[in-house]
Amino acid sequence: MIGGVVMEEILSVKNLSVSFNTYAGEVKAVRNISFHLNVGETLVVVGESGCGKTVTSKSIVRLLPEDITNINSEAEIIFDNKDILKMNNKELENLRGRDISMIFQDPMTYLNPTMKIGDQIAESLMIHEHMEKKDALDKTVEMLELVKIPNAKKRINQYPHEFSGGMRQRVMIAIALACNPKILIADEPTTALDVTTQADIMELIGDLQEKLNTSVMIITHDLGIAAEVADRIQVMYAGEIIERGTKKEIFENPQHPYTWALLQSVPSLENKNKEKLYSLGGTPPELLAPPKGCAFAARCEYCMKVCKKIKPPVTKISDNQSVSCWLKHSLAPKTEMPESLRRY
Amino acid sequence: MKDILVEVNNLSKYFKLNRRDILKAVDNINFNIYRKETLGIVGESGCGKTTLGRTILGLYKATSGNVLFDGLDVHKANRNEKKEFKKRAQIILQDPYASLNPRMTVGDIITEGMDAQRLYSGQEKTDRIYELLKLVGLNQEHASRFPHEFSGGQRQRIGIARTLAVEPEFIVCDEPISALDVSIQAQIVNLLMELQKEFGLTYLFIAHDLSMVRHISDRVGVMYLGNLVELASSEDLYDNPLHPYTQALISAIPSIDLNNPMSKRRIRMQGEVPSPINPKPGCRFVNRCKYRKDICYKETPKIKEIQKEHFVSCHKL
Amino acid sequence: MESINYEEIQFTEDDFKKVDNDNLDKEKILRPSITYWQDAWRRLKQNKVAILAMIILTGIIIMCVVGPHLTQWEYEIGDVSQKNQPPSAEHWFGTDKLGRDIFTRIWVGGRVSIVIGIIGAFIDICIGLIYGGIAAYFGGIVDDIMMRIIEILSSIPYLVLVVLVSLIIGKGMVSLIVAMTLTGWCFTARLVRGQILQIKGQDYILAAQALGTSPFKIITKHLIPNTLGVIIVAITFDIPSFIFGEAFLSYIGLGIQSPMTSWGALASDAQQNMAFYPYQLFFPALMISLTMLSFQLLGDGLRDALDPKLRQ
Repeated sequence: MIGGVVMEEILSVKNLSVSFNTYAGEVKAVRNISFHLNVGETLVVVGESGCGKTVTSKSIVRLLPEDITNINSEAEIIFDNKDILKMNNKELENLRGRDISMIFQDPMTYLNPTMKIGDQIAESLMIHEHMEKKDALDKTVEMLELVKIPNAKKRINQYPHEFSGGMRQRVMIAIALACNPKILIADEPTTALDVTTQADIMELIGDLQEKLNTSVMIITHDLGIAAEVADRIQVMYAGEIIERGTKKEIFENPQHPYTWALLQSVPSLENKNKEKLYSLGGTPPELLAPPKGCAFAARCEYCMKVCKKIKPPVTKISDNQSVSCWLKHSLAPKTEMPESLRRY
Repeated sequence: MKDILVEVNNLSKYFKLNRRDILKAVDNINFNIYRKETLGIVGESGCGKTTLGRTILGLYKATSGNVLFDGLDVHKANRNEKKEFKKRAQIILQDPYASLNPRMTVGDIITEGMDAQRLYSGQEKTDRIYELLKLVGLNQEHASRFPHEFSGGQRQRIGIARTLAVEPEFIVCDEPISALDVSIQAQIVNLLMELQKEFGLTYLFIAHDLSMVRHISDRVGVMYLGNLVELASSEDLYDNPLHPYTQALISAIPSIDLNNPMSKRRIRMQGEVPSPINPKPGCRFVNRCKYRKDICYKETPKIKEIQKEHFVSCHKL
Repeated sequence: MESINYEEIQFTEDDFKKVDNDNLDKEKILRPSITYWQDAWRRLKQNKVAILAMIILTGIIIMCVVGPHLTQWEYEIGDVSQKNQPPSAEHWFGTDKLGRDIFTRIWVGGRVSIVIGIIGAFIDICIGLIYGGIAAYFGGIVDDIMMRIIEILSSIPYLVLVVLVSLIIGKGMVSLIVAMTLTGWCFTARLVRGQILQIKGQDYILAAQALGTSPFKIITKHLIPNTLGVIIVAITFDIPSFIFGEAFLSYIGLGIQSPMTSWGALASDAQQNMAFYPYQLFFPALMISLTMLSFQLLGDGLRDALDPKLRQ
């Protein structure tokens, strides 16, 4: 429930663990995570590079290289009452692009440089909606206008290199939304873009979501984006979800020391002094041999003995908010969030 | 009178693409950099800030105008003066994945500059390598490893260690944090600020992330399509932006303050960014500006001091 | 994933005491250090075909060295009464028209063919490397002129050149090598130039220039080590083309002269009596094909193993 409204689940991920076979051993990229996405909402997954957020999103549409990827057998990814992990190739082809669409970080490498933009969008329509080419191209022009590309009729005959970075990202959104999918997964959609283009793209996604009632899952390392567009947020670290909640809960009442650290390292526009930005030392643990206890223990300034020995349990704070941290245990010392975050 | 380290006078850098087309990447830019300050340069991709940084260091030849480093004309220097200049003025690059030679060990990478300048040898050199690694937060044992074994943030720190090895006074930081996560950006920015305090460094900090630039810079300049449109102290620029472009730019910075969502404060620009190839006369921002007048199409506005230490190039003011 | 039963654990106050985190754990790298070459070797090992090719080539080379000593026959002395014998217990590969043991001659010929292949490829690479490197490094008009020269040289018909050279220098191994390398290096030069142009654009070259590294050092420490992969592959493909070139030229009589022999010369000798004594042609042809194929398969494997983009 969010704001008194009962939400309907459209995607449910249960007990997902993903690991890769590398020359150095097995890298456990995602470790037993479970979450869901509600109809019409925007879920933002936040975390540093390597925390497993991209691997999670790619495993939903099964885009990981089959030969080196291991997904545990108890995992389930339920969409429309079917388990995506058990789908065959034909079902997957129907799923991708039509029911669940994905857009990626660098639009130049994901667009075919030798195909006209119009054709690339129309391709999706012809395959999934079985449209005739002429109808597909008409709908394509509609889509380009929807993503606010000027002179759409003329531009469907142009090639990717004739568009700027921001425009290419819009084209990717057009391709992704052409068949009106139920879910849009956007993996770092604006990381390579300038700040004004970023703002435009995020606004566009928000508008389209309202219009088409798409459920959106955004992967990012930028909390600013989460603050602008999220309904709910989940924070990932070293392959696990360590905290989750609504946007308000995460920004006004964050519980996990890692979330505190992330919030503190964003320089705020009100902060006048030039003091050191808060920054966590070190880097996330290598997932070849994930640490025994809490994955964040080595970098946590509140670390206790038990943190290094045993993984913390999940503590429910509210309907939507929960956190995995030993600080919530009854025997742990009372800890408040840092002063600088208490702004509300 | 503040101590000026770098003087940029009427600097232009044009690239001739073919017989007709000239790309005016940097067009008639004037500003000074004071000793021990951090001057930030912001602007969107294609505005010419990277070209500016590299031209200032002499890595590109200037088309017209000059750059004076402590009195020395960078582009007219002879071989010895150039060598001396390279010891004092350095660059940190953007892409941590491309700026390190994948076949060299970290130790060799760090000593490259030292060897070129013939600074240390033998045991002294080894000690210096470990010192530098420690300075940037890495370990001794990392010296024998290869770049691909490190994360982006760690690689960027190796790049910083490499730059510091020649003991420069002035460093052009060319988008050093753009390719990194926000939490790692904080690490690098803190490191750069610490090093500045400890060694009295002067920085030209080029970036497109406006919140980080504001934090690290004393003064900030805004570039648009090769022109410097505004220059002020970082506080002044963000609290009181005067140029329409700067206003639009700052309104687009995402904020984690839930009481100040972008939907309320966003100033939108019309149209798309025009091309820097064969630009028309007049103000470059004219086709996207809602305050445009006739004169904006004809004459390029000169940069004027509108308020104390706050320079703007706009016909509106 | 074993789930933890929290109910069962007995917690004490002590468990929740704060711990000081030392900094050493923070930047640890667990993976063993691996150089580019170690990684490439590991990848090559996984390619069964390439390994097989390597084994075959090693076998052939060993035979070229020891083969002639395994029999009692000399390669240039023949017993005319024994001429044109099919393979038997005495003459494992049979004898040729002058009664010489073919087995022995195959391996002696092999030495010549392979040495020509290696020397030729080596000269090719050296010239190509320097030429392509200079053109790519300096760029601009230097590059333009140097590339036009290559274009002119490449358009000269190969055979015409070989004939001219053999007329001037005479026939034989040296003449053969000179003729083939005279324009052969053009290909490698283009390859090296392409690779270096690509590397030149990388940031670490700019960083080296900013640090004041001399052009010589940039070429030796940065450009060449990163081009080695391409060069090794080029060598591996060059050798078989030299072997074939030699075979072809000797076949038409412009190459190795009697009594010195090579696979091409052996094939040439056997050609006239092909219908009657096919084994005389079979063995040299087999050796040429097998060697060329193995080099090319190895080259393919090396290219995959050395290509950094395929690294996971």
